[in-house]
Amino acid sequence: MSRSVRDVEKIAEEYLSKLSSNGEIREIIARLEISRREPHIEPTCSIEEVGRAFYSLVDSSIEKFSYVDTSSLIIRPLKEIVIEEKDVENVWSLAAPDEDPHLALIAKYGDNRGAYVRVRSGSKIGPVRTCYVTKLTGTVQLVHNVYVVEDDAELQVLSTCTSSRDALDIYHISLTEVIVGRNSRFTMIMYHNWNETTKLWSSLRVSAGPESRIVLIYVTHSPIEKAYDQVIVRLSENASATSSSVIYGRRGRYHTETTTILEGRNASSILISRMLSAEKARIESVSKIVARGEGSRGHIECLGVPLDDSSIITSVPILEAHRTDVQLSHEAAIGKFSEEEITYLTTKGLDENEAMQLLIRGFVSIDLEEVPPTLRKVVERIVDELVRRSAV
Amino acid sequence: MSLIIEDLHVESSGREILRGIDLEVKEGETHIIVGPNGAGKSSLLYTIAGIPKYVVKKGRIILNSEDITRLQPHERVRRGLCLMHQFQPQIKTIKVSDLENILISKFGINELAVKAREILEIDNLRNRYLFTNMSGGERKRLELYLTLLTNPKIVLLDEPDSGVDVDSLVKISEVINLIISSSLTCILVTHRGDIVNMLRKVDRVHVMCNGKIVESNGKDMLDRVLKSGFRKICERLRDKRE
Ligand SMILES: Nc1ncnc2c1ncn2[C@@H]1O[C@H](COP(=O)(O)OP(=O)(O)OP(=O)(O)O)[C@@H](O)[C@H]1O
Ligand SMILES: [Mg+2]
Repeated sequence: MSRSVRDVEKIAEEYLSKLSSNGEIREIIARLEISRREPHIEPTCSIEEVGRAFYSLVDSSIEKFSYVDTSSLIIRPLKEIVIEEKDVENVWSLAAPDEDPHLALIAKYGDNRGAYVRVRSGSKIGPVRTCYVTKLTGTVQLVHNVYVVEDDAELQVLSTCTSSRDALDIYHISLTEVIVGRNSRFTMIMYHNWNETTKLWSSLRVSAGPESRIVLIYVTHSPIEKAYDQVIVRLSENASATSSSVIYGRRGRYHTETTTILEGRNASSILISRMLSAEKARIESVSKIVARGEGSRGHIECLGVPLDDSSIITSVPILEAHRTDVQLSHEAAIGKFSEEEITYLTTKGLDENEAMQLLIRGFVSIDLEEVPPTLRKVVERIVDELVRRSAV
Repeated sequence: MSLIIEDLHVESSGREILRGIDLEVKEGETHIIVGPNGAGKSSLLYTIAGIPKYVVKKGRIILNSEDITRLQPHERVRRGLCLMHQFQPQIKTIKVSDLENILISKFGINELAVKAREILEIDNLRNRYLFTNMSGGERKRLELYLTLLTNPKIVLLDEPDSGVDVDSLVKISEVINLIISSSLTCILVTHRGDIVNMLRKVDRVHVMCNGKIVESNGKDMLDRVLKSGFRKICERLRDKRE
């Protein structure tokens, strides 16, 4: 995309003006016009400290930002990158501001609040943490991150989101663009833990260079009012991606759309989704693989277990082949845990509740073989929490 | 631990499957149950283990003078009664080690299980998923080990010898002999004489046909029955009914 970053705001403005009939977007804009706070920025810190959260966004101000500028890693506020017009070719390179109203809001009102991370060729960085918190009722949190992983490099990111119990009626709207170079690796764990008045819209765009490896893990287990999560990964030659998402939905509406586009020769992807629903939750999960590259391969696995009769799970696997030599498959199933399995476990001394919990744990456990040990522990803790909450 | 079964009538899916079973197994005894396919051997063990699908219409199950007829399966396990299933479900999401850890934390470590782990070569199976893509012998060995992890005082073994090769059979019978010499009470269902001949002690053999025990006797009866088949003995039951 050859659009200049300076144009982005203008495009967004025009696009938004055409959407004046969209009540929700109007409401968000009104809120954004009222409150505008300046980001608070901390001084430079060492690489070791980046291991913990290098940046946290509380409501709409950056409460903490750790600068890094070394031969292996750059971490700076995105805003500075845009103002200096340095390295900006990657900003808004994977998304357009007039593609969706939420993206337009980020472009026009987001003030480039977010991080720019660049991992230099040959370096291995991680895990770095980002943290999004909402504390004020009515907050609209807009986030835009850009991560660049140069050739032969690696970046691991842990992104956690949370809102305080008494912060009501919150919007979290985010865009993360990830550009991964040749023979590089990108791992990202996203953990959502909001409250039930939160409305979430998030988009993750990844461009995966030749021979690169992308591992995405997404876990949400909190009640939420409305969640929309979009992941789009474009894969070049011999690149591969695995995306695993676990949603334990209670109350509220959850909609996830994960798309991988196998553009290059022998590109491959596996999309795994596990859904548990209860308490009137509605979960919709769309997984899509588009195979354009010669010999590209993909597999989708969507499994859902409704834990009660009040909730709804919709699972949509989509396979799209543009050639004859591609290999695409999917496996989708929705149904409760088998009686036979529960019975077996009870005859080994577990009560029904314990048997259910063990089955739930197994069901949501993600293959963590490729995840570095520090992040693995985090995911295991999150899964523990999920299983604990599922206890009847 | 002793087990007494009195006039047990059981239905499943609306069908009468057990039609008046009486059985007494004293503490430390080893009893063998044989009978043709479909006789109700597994159903009897399922009912003793408390699987809800097997509905007791009449009669009682008494464990150490406590009536356990209405107890849930896990409550029976807690009292020391555990079933080794004939068929195990493949649970492709649960690792063997996960269930193992849970059972150890619930029931503690017991010496018998530790020995069984060695003999049954469980270490190779620990990272696999429960019974998933396991061979016949691997399943039986694992199931026997998991049964012993519950620290039982009475075990119900449903065809521990079916579908296993000679080497596995030797290992499995070695463990059953440990069970016997630890003075555990044991009920074993089998179709074959060879495992029985490998056991250090057999107190009684029962023949089941069509939901009933038709004959109970010493070990000598087994060779006779296995040689001549069940037809005659089962027909006698039919004649009696007519
Ligand atoms: N849940 C059930 N619902 C309906 N019928 C059942 C059920 N379980 C068992 N049966 C029937 O009860 C009878 C006894 O079955 P069971 O499995 O107890 O036999 P078995 O003696 O163990 O046979 P085998 O030697 O083949 O293992 C069979 O006719 C079987 O089809
Ligand atoms: Mg049977």
